[in-house]
Amino acid sequence: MSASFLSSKWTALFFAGGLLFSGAPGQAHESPVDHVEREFDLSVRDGQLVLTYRLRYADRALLMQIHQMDVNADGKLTDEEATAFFAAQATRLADLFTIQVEGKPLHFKPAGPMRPDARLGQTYEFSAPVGSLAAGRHPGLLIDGYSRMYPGSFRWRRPGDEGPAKTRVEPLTPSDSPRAVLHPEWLELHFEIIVPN
Amino acid sequence: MSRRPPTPSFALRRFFANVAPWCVAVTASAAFSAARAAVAERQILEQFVAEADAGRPVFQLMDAAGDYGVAAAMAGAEFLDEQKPARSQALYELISLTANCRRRHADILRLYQPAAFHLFYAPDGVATQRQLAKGLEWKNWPAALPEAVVRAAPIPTLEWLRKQAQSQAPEREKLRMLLPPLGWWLRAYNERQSVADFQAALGAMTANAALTGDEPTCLALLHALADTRAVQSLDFVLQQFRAATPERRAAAVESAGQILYPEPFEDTHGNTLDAARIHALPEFLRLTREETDATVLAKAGPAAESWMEEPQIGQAMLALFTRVSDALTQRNILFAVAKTRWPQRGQIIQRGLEATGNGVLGVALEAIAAHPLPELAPATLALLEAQKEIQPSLIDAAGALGDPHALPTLLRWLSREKNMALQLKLALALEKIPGAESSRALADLLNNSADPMIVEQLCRMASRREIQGATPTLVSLAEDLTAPLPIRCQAVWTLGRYQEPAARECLARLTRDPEKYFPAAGNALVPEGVEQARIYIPLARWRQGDTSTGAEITTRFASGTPSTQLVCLLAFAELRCDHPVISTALNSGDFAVLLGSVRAAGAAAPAKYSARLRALRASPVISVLSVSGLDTSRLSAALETSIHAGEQESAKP
Repeated sequence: MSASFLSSKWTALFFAGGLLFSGAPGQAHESPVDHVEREFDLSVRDGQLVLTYRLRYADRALLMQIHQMDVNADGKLTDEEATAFFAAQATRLADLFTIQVEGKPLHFKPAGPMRPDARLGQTYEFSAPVGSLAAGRHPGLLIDGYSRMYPGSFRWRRPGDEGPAKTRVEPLTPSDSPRAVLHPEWLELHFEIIVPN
Repeated sequence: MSRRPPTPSFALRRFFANVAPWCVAVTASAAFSAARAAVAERQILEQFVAEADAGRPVFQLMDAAGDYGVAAAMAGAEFLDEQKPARSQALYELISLTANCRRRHADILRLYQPAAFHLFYAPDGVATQRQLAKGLEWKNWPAALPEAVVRAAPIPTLEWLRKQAQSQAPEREKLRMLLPPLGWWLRAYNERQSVADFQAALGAMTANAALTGDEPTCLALLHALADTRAVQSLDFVLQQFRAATPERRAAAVESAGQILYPEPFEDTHGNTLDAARIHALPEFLRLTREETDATVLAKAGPAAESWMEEPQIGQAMLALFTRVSDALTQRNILFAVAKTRWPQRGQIIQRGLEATGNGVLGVALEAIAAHPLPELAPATLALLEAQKEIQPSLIDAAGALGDPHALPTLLRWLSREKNMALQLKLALALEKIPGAESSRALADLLNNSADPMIVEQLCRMASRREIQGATPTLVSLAEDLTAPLPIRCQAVWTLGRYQEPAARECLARLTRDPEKYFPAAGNALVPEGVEQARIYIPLARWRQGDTSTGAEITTRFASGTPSTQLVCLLAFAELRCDHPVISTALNSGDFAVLLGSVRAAGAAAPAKYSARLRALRASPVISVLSVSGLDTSRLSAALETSIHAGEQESAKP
């Protein structure tokens, strides 16, 4: 996790808030930048490193997404408009990830459609060929560039529960690490791919 | 080389190559997920019912059922049983929890909770609503039923309300259970489908003597009319100004105030409540003259805020303030004075300064901070001189008045004050008092304070008001790699206000090597604070008059985070300068950036952006956002202000 968050993001928002609300001193207000909750699930399947990435937006952010989807501004959202938006969003998110295994850069690509859920979550899947890995532990790093723009809390969804006999990914950066809780500049998550003998 | 226009076959190939796989995958995935979800949902429901029947806690299962949204509640409807109150209570809690989604925009439901969209928006969803609301006909209601039916079953709930309105023997106790959650739902702008229908149903109840003749039911109805802002029922509310009991009169005054209170977006759709306010004015004025009960009169001040500029109301409040000695009534009138623009506000505040009631003087001083009228200066200064101990409200009032005669006391207090919050308050007061003496005091504080919060705020003050002698400290802060980044950002931006050579030379040094002064420490990404510091450099030079930095601002804006873009847009709003980034940002899908662009457009070139601002206001989602309760950062108000500024600019010869 990058350092010096408290000296930048919160205070930057405070400054923006100060400018925004300078006409109304003393009034409480919330940040105009909507936070996003995240869940990560990394696994290895068929030679691919697979990231299942679930985002939960605030209601206002979801409304703004609909505003973006409604490209003809007729107020009627079509399936085509929604599908095109989420496909573009998947590509954008993929491009914002930096992923390395054993120091070698990989590039995530969208690996399926966005799956919405009743808790207003959006689940995307990305994959990148990881090649054949020898038995042992392989350190990896995932940097979420989207979290730089839209901060928020995160958690690992399925922390390495494939069992010891299978190739699995173990997170090394816990969700409740002090830096994660302290609202980092961006999410920089360390993990290990464990290939059994 | 010219591009070949896409032919139908090309377009078809492109569709099958790019879009069709997504559509097929979405459909197949959705069908599989739906089948699997139905089985799991059923299992959870059965377990939920078994646990509830056994009297065991169901919190965890309720949380798990939340994964299925309102579909879980719909599946639970078949288990509702009047003979099993514990189970029905648990099920109505589940229905209430999951049906809270009805407050969301229809398209959000359509995308994320298709079952909820069908339940609330499809014609055959009504049958399921009736299943969910079957408890309305039970002899005894589970405690969770009222909130659940308001959220999950609006149509059966409306039918039940209409039935009570027509009944000679209405179920008053149940109605009193239902009205509060209905009021809260509407007051929070959660109701998206049936606001007018609910208002009409409540209005119909005001004609039923079996309801209005019962004191507790009538009080509940008055509160519900207030919560739902049922202006159609204003006459009934005004009639209750003459009710026999003070409780009912107080509830009626409170209700009238809430119904008539100006909403931020009242003008947006052209249907103001001005006519209703004119209609209610005589009865309200009569009440302020004739009412003697302190409980009722205490409600008069907040209700009077509905007439923001009406001189007759100002006169009535002045007379009432003078007539009564009740401190609560007087304080409430002064709170109202702070928010309104009555011509008599100065006289009311003056009386407040002379009042002896509990806490009245403090509220009067707060009102001065909102309305620093010159005629209030002598009394305020007299209080200031007589006050031995530091008094926060007095600092604010003296600062707002901007009278240099307040300086000796304020400077004396500042010289001995150690509390950071009070130091800041004193500094803010000094900022508003013109002259060399206050400037010197602020410069001394900036040069000598070691508190980061004080220094940052003083940098802001130096940005809003030129402070002689501040430049060396600002230069030092801007270049000090050990100083906190937000202070450095503010110092850089503030230097843009100063034309002294030292300020220009500092910005030139920062421009030559921004990475040296604001390093990113080898990170893969540039930290947002550093990014913002770097964009402040060209912005500050622009502020000094060097518009050649426009291209650099565009580049840095394009790669910036929403926070950085917001900061940049607000800088242009502060400078009232147009820049191409404003036009770009007006197309943004990010709320913060859009908000910043609207403010910047309205401040910089409102006539130029008028058409786009109007189109934005009229766009379906933005207009919904404005009345949804989600617009806590007041985008709609910013839009109105900017559009109004455009109209004024266009009207200039």
